[in-house]
Amino acid sequence: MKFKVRQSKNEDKERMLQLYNSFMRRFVGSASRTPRSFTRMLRKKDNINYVALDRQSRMIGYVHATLEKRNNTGEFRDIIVDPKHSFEKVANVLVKKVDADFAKKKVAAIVAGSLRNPAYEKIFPKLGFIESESTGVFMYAIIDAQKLLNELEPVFANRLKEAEDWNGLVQIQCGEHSLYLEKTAEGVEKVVWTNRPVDFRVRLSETILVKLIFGMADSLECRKSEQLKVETTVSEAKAIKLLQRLFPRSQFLTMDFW
Amino acid sequence: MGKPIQYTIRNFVKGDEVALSGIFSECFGPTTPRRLKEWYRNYGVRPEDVFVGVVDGKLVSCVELVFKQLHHGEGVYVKTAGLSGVCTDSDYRCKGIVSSLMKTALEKNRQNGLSNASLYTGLDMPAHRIYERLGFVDVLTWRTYVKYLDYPYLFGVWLRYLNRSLRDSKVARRRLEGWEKSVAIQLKDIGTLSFRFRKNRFERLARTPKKVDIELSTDVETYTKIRRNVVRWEEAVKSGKLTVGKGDSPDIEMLQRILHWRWDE
Repeated sequence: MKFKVRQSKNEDKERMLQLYNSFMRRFVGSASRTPRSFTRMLRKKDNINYVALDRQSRMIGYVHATLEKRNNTGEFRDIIVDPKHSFEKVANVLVKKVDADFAKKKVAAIVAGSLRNPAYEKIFPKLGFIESESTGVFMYAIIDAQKLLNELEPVFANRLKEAEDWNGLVQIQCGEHSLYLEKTAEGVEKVVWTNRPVDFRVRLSETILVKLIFGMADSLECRKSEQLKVETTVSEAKAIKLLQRLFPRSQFLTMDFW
Repeated sequence: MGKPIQYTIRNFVKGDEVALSGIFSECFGPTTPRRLKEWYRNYGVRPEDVFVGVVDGKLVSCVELVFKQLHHGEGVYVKTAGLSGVCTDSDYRCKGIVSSLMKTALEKNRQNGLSNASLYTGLDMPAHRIYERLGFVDVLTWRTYVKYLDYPYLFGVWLRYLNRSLRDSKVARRRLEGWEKSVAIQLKDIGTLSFRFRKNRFERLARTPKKVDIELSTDVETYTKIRRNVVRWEEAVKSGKLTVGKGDSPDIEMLQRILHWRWDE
């Protein structure tokens, strides 16, 4: 597929935000953005921003890089590509463009940080970048488990909706707190509390809940090691499917640090 | 845990940025009150989101909250309280002040209806243990890609940064007192870069002297990883990626502290 690359303009910000949102939908852990963040990004003179356009001049990706003047270092901040297109192909062209711009500016170093975007492995080493692990770590704590379960209700409800061949009552129990979801042919509804028998109960600790929601643990492995317990009336095969449906192995990706 | 001391916790008030920038400089690298205020403005940090610990009227510790919405899948975002700027004046560490500040900040968040908190830190930082005790779980470490185009320039920048950091770090100054040595680092494909520490200053040497106290040879990738504490010095030596030509064991230990800029036990 052919596409062209040009410098981004102020009027691109709405589409850039749309692209960011659709790209990040596939990942967990990413922070939300507003048009204001893109205004700031496009306003600064030293920033390097390019957009990739398809044949119909529709934006299919963008790259945002900054120049740290004090150390004379260039830094890749965002590399976003429309999920309908190949990340590697589009990003490669955008990255090369920025790389060349930084070289022209005679920067002393170029840095690309990533919380393990697997596509980076295919792009940066080819351009002469050294890969290094970091001791930097993202940590997460639950301070109100009931509230978090309630906030995550739309996530679990959407996932349950996709279990088309099963209806019943689900309970996700984290410590003493629970989220009840009733799946019927019409849809999924939250139940505040019930003493009806539960068809599918998952019991887990706060630590395991954090690991599962950010894709750092596999639900089946957790069950095997008894870090997560399932009590159910359904068959083993169905239980495995439902567990994987509720806790799919998500990819964590964030581009925002604070 | 050191001897218990009396302290109070309050929110940020105008003028605190001066004392805070001093502690920030000691803990995170050089900064100024102006840059601190700019940072607060850019990230929307309000005075009630900054908790400070005060001992005898002196500001000694800090925790800030930056609110973000994190994606949890299916297009659902959940508000998180991001903890940042967690630091304590080196003279007041190990007294439980920052733990109390964190507990206060987390409780305040819970009362305000927040379900979770998050932060970025280093696995090798002493604070990591405090966060674990407070219920924080490691989610993910990150990976960096770097391309050096002018390493000698960056070496100079690094030494200038060390001098600025030294000015703000009482612990580093104490540790380095009386240590006057020269170091030559031979980097494959780049050349030999050398510096000396004398009269409380790091000084880049244009030419490597004939006699140096510490001499090592490695490649830029290994050197980067050692500095980031991803590869341990001993491992690099064992694997043959780092050769120490010269240097006594206490001097090598001091050089490692300089490379990591870690001065606490």
